[in-house]
Amino acid sequence: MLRIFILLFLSVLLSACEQGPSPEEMVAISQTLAPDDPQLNEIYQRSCQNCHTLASTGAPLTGDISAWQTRLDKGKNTLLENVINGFGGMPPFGLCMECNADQLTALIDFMAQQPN
Amino acid sequence: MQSRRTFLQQLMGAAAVLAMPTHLLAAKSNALPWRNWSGSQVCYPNTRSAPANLAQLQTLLKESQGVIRPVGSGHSFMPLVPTNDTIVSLSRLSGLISVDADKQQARVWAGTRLGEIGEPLAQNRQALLNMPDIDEQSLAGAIATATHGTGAHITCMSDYVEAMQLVLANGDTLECSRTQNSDIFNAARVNLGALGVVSQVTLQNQAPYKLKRETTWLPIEEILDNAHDLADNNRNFEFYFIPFTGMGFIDVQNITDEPITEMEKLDQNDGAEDLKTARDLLSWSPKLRELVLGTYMKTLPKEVNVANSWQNYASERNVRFNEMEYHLPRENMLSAFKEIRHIVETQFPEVFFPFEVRFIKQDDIWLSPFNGRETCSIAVHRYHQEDYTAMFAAIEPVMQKYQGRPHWGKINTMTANQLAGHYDRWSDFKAIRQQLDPKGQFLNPYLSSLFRS
Repeated sequence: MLRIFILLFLSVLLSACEQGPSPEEMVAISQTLAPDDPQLNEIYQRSCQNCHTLASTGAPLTGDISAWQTRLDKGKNTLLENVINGFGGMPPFGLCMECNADQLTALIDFMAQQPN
Repeated sequence: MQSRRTFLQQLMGAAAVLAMPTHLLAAKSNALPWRNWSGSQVCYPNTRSAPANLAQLQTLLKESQGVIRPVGSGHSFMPLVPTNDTIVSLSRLSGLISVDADKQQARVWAGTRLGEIGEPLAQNRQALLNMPDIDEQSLAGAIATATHGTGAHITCMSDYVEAMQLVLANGDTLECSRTQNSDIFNAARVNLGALGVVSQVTLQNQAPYKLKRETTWLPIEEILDNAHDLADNNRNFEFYFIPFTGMGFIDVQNITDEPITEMEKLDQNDGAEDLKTARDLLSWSPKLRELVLGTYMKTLPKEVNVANSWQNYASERNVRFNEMEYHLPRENMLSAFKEIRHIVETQFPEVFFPFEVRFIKQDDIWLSPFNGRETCSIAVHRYHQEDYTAMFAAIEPVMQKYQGRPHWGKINTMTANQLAGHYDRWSDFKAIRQQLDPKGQFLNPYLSSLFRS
């Protein structure tokens, strides 16, 4: 009986591990993340963070690697163009009107948790 | 329990939302394009700057060559921003500066987004008198364009301004208020960014309050029969009409002491996508479209939400669109609405976005579209990837026939002469503008056409 219980417990634990954080946990995680670079962080806090840490916007959450992978598969240039031109609910430049291409790329890398 | 969206999709014989081609335009040479929210306005500024403090803003304006245009969140659909010289964002000049508890006033950096004002004010026992139905705009941009909420007894946001600080083209700061530089103040309360860069604003607020919001779906004829009474008898009232459905919904808000609630809200972005799907599948038969959508809408229950005021005014708008909105004398609203509805439902079967009708109290601000008359605004929309020109060209004459004044930030074709006929203080505004910016550094081609003709 104990063996069955342990097996059941491990299977639940394993399935939880495989599933990763729940949506609510992912939102909480995204809200704790910030770029290491102070300048980039300052931009992030007043622009991307407003949508990419809220599930209701539909934007891929900061640090949600699986959600970002489907976007990254389109290629970084495409993602950069989407930011510049706007995409879906995301306004052009994602509210950072003064950002240059390098900064926008760095923000994408940060939110997708890509090495920059 | 079956969700509302699933029910609607079953009625339509669910089909995948048609994917619209993505608008991907290559950036010109080395200059990145600036675009407004909907993508309908574009320019390639040589310089895009976000000063970190007042001194940097002053230096930027003093040393810039060519045209300088302030940019907020880009929610204007008219060419108020485009320049290929310098655009300046105040996004780093954001937050609460000081409060006056006795007067219930607050001094705020003008780059603050409306959605970021509510909580700090609440922490200081204050709340905005009213807010529009989105809160992405910068405070400066909202004031510059007479942004408004709804409420027959409530004025637009520019009327909550008690004092302002402008940074002029020569880098000097200028303070103005109801009692200091009052002519400049009255011009600057709706300024289109043409007088200088507004850097700080003193707002008249009130004590914090909760709002009870009640959203009810009704046949449009019933809404129209009762619209004026509902506006007079509720603090905030507005209604939406969904073309080709015979239905609309009313939003009524009143101050309440009831506890804050959490109720599933109809997601307006999901709603827009569903209406688009219905259009894609059923535009060939307006009667079937009305039957399907009307049936669905009659099943939608009344929504009631109680929240802090600053959490209950605005909705997220993640489906982008282009918009025309005119502000009409209140007594003309019903006639204009009926004609506009007829035009859309007989000539434009592809339209799926709702109309929005709001009520605004008159004020005395020089360039306010609500100057001198109780007002109703009628707004029509087109999906951002669709050509709006034919529809808006068909509707605009109706708006003008009924003495409408266009929203400064929304699509219109009014010339300087036409606008001057609507504003008694037009020449006075031009004189103040000339005084503050004699070289026209804040005038792009559109603003030049208005104020230098």
